[in-house]
Amino acid sequence: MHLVLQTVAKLMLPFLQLYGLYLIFYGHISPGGGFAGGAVIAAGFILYALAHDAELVSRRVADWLNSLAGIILILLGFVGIIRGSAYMFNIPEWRGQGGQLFSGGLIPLLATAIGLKVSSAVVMLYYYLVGEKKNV
Amino acid sequence: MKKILAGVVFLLIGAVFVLMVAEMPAFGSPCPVDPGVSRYYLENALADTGAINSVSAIVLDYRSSDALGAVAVLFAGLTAVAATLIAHSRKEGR
Amino acid sequence: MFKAIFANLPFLAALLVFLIGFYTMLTHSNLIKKVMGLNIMETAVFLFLLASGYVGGGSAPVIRAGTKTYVNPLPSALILTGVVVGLSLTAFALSLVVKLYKYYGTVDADEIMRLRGKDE
Repeated sequence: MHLVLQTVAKLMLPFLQLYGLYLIFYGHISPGGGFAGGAVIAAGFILYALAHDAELVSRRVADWLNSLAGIILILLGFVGIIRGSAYMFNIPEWRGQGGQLFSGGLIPLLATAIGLKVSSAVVMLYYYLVGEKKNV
Repeated sequence: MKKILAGVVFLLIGAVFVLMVAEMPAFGSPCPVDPGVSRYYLENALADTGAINSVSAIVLDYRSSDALGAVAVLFAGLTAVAATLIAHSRKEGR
Repeated sequence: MFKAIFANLPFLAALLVFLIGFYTMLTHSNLIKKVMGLNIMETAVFLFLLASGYVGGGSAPVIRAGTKTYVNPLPSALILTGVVVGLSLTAFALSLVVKLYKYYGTVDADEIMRLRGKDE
């Protein structure tokens, strides 16, 4: 690929990842959330892989992160059962003030797990669909 | 022949859509049916959950099972793509 | 009647995008263009649902002191799940197109049907 494309992709990558992490972590204060943040982070990785023809995150690491995030998401529901209410209910002690970063109970933790899962799943989809010329 | 049939079906569906737009309530008017659920979510999101973004409170607290289902559908789609493409390339290798 | 149609202009725009996606899926014979037409139709449905949730003069549904009316937050929350399902569907359809290309050597739907008719 052309040198200008490679350099611009390498320079834009940290801004894209920072913006995606902002959308995930501030999802309960300003518009955003887990799904949108995960998609932006995956777009950063795919831009790098398209421009440089090399993988930034190896296939094994992305597969492992995908499964780990799914297990964390299911296990976060059991916090509600341990405390005596139903599956994936919110925790009233962690409610906090409206508008602070550490507020919202279980919502930021769920958003982090969902963001990790969506970003690794989209990157894995790209590796499966486009990396067909190389071996799997 | 197939193109003519496709064109006729397309024009028919387009006409039905344009007539449907004329019958809808005006854009920006409040809901004609009583919007009880939306009003409850907007008024009680801060007191129940502590998050001020009501869309995040709906997706991740009041309806967190829907988010779990969406993540499950994404994982099932990824597994289906992997099953389709890996079986093919392993056959190529041997 | 025309005044009623042009008062609901966002609904008309969403339905026009749906018709564009439908036309793409009907007439082009390239398989990848058909899959893209499906994706365009899905985007148009989300736009229609989102436009139906607007309340005139309301602000974004982030609760702050001093705002009077908010936009309806419920369609936005339900569309988030729908977007993820649409992505999964498009990815699976494209993987099937890749497998068809490896088997038949072409991505043209008419060509594939002609080859299948000659085989049987």
